Amino acid sequence: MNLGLSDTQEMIRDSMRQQLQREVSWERVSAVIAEGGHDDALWKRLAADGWLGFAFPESMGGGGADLLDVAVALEEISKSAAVVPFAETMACVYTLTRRGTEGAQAALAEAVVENAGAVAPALAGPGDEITVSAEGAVSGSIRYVDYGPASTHHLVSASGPVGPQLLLVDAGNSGVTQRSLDNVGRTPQSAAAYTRVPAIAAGGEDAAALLTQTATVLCCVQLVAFAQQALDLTIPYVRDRVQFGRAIGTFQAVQQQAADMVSALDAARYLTYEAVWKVEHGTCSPADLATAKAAASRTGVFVTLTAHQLHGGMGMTEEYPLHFFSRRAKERSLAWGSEHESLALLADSVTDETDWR
Amino acid sequence: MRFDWPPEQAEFREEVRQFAAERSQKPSWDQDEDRENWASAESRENLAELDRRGWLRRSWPKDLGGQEMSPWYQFLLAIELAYTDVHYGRRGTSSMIGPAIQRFGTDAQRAEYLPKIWSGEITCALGYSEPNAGSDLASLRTRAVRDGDSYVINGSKIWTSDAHWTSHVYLAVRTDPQAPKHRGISIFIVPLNLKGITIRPIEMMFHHRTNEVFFDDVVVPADWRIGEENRGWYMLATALDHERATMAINNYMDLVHVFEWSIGYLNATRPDVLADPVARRKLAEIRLDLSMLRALVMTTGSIVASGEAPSKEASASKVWATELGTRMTGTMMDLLGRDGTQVADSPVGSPVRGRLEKQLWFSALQRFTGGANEIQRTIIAERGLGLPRERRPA
Repeated sequence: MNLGLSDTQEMIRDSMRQQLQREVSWERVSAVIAEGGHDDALWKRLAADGWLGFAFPESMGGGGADLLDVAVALEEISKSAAVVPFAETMACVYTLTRRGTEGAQAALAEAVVENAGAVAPALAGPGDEITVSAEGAVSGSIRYVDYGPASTHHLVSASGPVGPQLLLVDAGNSGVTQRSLDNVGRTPQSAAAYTRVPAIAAGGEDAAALLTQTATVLCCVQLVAFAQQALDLTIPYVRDRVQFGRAIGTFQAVQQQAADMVSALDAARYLTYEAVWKVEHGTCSPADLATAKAAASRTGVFVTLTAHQLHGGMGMTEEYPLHFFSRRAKERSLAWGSEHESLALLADSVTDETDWR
Repeated sequence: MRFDWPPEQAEFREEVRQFAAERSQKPSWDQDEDRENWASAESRENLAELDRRGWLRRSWPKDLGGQEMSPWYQFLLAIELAYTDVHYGRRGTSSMIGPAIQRFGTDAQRAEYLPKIWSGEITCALGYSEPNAGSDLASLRTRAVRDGDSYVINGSKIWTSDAHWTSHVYLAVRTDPQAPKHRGISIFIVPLNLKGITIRPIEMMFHHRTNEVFFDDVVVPADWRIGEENRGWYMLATALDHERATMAINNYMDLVHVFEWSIGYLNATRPDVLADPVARRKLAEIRLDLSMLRALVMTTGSIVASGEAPSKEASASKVWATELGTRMTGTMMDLLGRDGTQVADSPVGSPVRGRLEKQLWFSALQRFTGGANEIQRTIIAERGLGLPRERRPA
């Protein structure tokens, strides 16, 4: 047991943080959101600095980062408010480099490392249907593809005759049509339709399962990061804001809410990183995953909404960055298993024995 | 970051599990349990055996018979023994007062007290609260007046749990009434069989006995004082952080037991409840809350292991555990409808042999003991988050 960062992880955190502090201003984020796109210049910059290859194993010429390293980098990116498909692309990279076919790995390296592309997981949800022809072409539709319009490739899940499988498709293919969606997080997102799109068979059932796990725990990391940033905005605000002749941070009613924010956040952070660690070690059970997601979803929304309460009107304005984090937290809380959906899964197994030690 | 135990700690945990399996069977929901038997000879023998094996002092300095190993060993020992419900001496005497004497005592006091604490010969009740000094502990008024090589103590303590069977009381008294209230307190370790000490029982609403202790011209030698005169508040605050870290483990495991017992009870007697999806959903929420409590307890352990004082984290665990305790016992009883009303001795039986009811009141009590949750939240905000101190009346 050790909750401290390794030397490598500290280096990842510090160098990512410094780079983002130089490059990502709130004005820049606001401009990107106003245009409804993503920060392509920043993405190219991250690629140039090697961040897109760092989760490839060293044997494939990558940086050899594990999922905890990815999580540490993602937490910094999320706190910076940068609008880039890092979580999505890393979930696909991590999955395919560990469980993907050789063909998919080669295509991925070319797309992401050589050409600074992005890959979006496109998982079929309720009502979605994806079929694969005998020649391996993908047809069907998927309702929600995060950063779909911003990605050069989609990693599509389909259920074939031999069970779930993953297929890597070129999002620029003429058989792919995408309709941009508007969501509460203001993140780029599409509903995608695929008509006989040529695809690379990328992985089987174990790869599909790992993609879900990886995307879910990285979603938890984003939630923790958004909550942390909301708290980090709140503390100096209530320390400086004077009403009734004193800093509002001296009022017990304010202090007690701040205490509840950080306590829930500490708990959600632990469960999140524990789940990341378990995915890395192949020991993350469905209940572990649901527990982490339910805790992160609940906490992300609770902490950001409490931050609004402690900020008052200023926190509700477009010019102040808090809404970025509360919007993104709300959106992420509903993705990859909402609190309700995660609790429903826990309810199914609630009488199972658990090792609580 | 790693979330598993290195081989040597995993091996230690196995040894502790084996030790525990030989001494206690975690009672199942339909067996009687005796949670008040920490005073038993068996409990004392367990403590002595733990010390013979060197387990109580794995993380202690070498010159005090310790092995200077990671504090995680103490954590593993505490959590395993709490889970298996093995009793060993009085909870807290060896984990809390031992370290305080180690840190603040003289060489002579270390030689005198520490071996007896580890063997279970000395057990300590905590003499902190007074009728007019509860949450505002620093306003305590029990006086110790210097008289040559002795002090004469007068006053009274309240909520002194276990004082009717412990050998000593770890006593906070006022030695300088003129100084500001935090700077006139000293700590003594006092045998409870002295002339002038009277112990009177107070029965609590959930079949728990606590005590009032009266001091009437009790004469104690000056070398029973631990630490410098008038520096007692500082020692208390340090000990309280560690008390809460230890309490967090015990509180957590108490709730784990209640959860497991309740599932066992429902499985055996009320399958209709478990078949109800709304009820299962409520149980799932409790399970999630317990996991979040586990996360806070582990985070607290991690702070201790890194050598820092677990101030914000221990407070968060305490708040979370005690509020979850009332919430979860309340929910469990609610799921049972009228069956939930029956208490331990009812001839028609009671849910989980009365343990739900007992834990309900116990958690309700724990929300304000050991530093009320309101005070814990202030500690988290001011010490943990660095918010400015509120203006407090003197």
